[in-house]
Amino acid sequence: MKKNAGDICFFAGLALAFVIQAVCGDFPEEVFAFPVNAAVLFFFIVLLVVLHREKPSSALCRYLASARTSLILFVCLALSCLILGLFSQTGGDLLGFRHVKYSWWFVYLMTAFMANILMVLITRPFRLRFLLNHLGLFLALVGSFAGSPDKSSVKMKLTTDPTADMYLTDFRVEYSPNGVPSDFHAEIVVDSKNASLKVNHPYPRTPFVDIYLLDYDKASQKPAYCIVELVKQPWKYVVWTGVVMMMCGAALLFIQGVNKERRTV
Amino acid sequence: MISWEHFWIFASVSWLLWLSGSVIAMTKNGSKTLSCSLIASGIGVFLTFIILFWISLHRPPMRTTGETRLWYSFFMMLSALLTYMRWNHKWIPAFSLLVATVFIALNIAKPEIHDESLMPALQSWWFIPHVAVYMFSYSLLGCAFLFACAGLYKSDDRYLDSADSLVYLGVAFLSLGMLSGSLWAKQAWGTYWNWDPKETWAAVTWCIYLIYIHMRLRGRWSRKVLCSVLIVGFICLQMCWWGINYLPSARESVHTYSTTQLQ
Repeated sequence: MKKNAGDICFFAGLALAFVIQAVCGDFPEEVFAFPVNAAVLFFFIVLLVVLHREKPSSALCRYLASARTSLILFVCLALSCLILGLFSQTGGDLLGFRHVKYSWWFVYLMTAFMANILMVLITRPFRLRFLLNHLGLFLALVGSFAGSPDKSSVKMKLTTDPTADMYLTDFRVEYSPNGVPSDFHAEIVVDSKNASLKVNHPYPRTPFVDIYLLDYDKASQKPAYCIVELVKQPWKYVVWTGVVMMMCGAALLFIQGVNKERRTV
Repeated sequence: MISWEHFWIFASVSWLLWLSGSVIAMTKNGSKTLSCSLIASGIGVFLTFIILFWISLHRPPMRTTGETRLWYSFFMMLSALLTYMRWNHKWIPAFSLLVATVFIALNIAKPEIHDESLMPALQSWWFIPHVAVYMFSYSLLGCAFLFACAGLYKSDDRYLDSADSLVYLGVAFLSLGMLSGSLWAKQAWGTYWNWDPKETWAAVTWCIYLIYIHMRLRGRWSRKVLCSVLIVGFICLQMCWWGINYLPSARESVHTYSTTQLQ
């Protein structure tokens, strides 16, 4: 195989993703709702592990595990983030520059990136800092991207009507001396249980659903309603695990400093 | 009762102790023990003011911008001391002192004593560590930028070796800032990552510094290319820190705390 064949295949795939985006529009995320995402993820991991075990010296395997591929992907991801930052994400353009998160090419890049990290994880020798940083990033990405079709949020207006599933019993606003509201407290009843809501203090309704206080009736002295958001994110535990692993990895980066042998991050 | 009026007394004593410690750290035969003890006593004096101020306010001094600058200066010197003790980078105390001085000078010139309250979204114990580790990381990466500029003009690979340890430290803190921010975002807004303009630029910056680290690990890149990557990284960092305020998309940012809002 020629030296640059891997790059040609990678960029051809990226070009194809752009063509699909232009022809078909956004990536059909909803198709990948649970259990499809879990199944795809499982086969994705099994496929890469088997590929590495059976044909470790194959061109695909070496391309996916190479540090050069990581660099190319990092540059592509940095450019995608730049596009995301420079174009306001309103949707409705040909190449998905205004809908980056839902575009075919972004999904392609993220998939390639996850394949790269996974392959690097399988092939490199074990070191704690390396594992925490790379497996942590892999889990955070898996939880965010594979878990994204299962994430949903609904805004609701809670009134004092006690016949509803959720209702407001009391809302307190505290003001600082200059008249600016400094604290908000909503006492609510959820599924016949009392709960207290505050900004930065969501209420866990179920293991997958949290209730957040968003807004309240600012017009009246005694607020008659408040607006809450119900966020369902079953994969949040995967993301959390990844984030905490990376935090430990960053702490080790601080403690150990530059690796003298220059082999692994 | 301790108030802002007494700040300059404590600040000057701390500043003089820090200055003498930093100068001794940089001189060739300066004693490291003496330098560290001087910096540590400066931190002690500064912390005394914070504690006394805390007691007289009957609340933690973390509400106004001026009060948070107090913590920036404190953390800046504390981290500098720990880094110097651990890695012997002689210039670290002096550089951190420069940043701390800016914050102290701002506090003396414009203490913002008005009791403006902190909006509820910022009332979280994540607030201080999230901002403090970012500030420290910005200062380290700023220093790496200076080394990169020097490395671009002088053909000496030692600049890159010094930049390496700074980048590793800077990236460790940059990651901690970003990751703590994502945990806080989940608590406050219900999602770990919003692709808010500030977060997007933070991701770009993070990618560029990771590119640098991976370029240094493998492959033989020329000194000029490596220095240029660090310079581009620093430009993105400035975009993320304050540059985005001048972009139209910043108006949609959840990180803009200029207007009164619940979240």
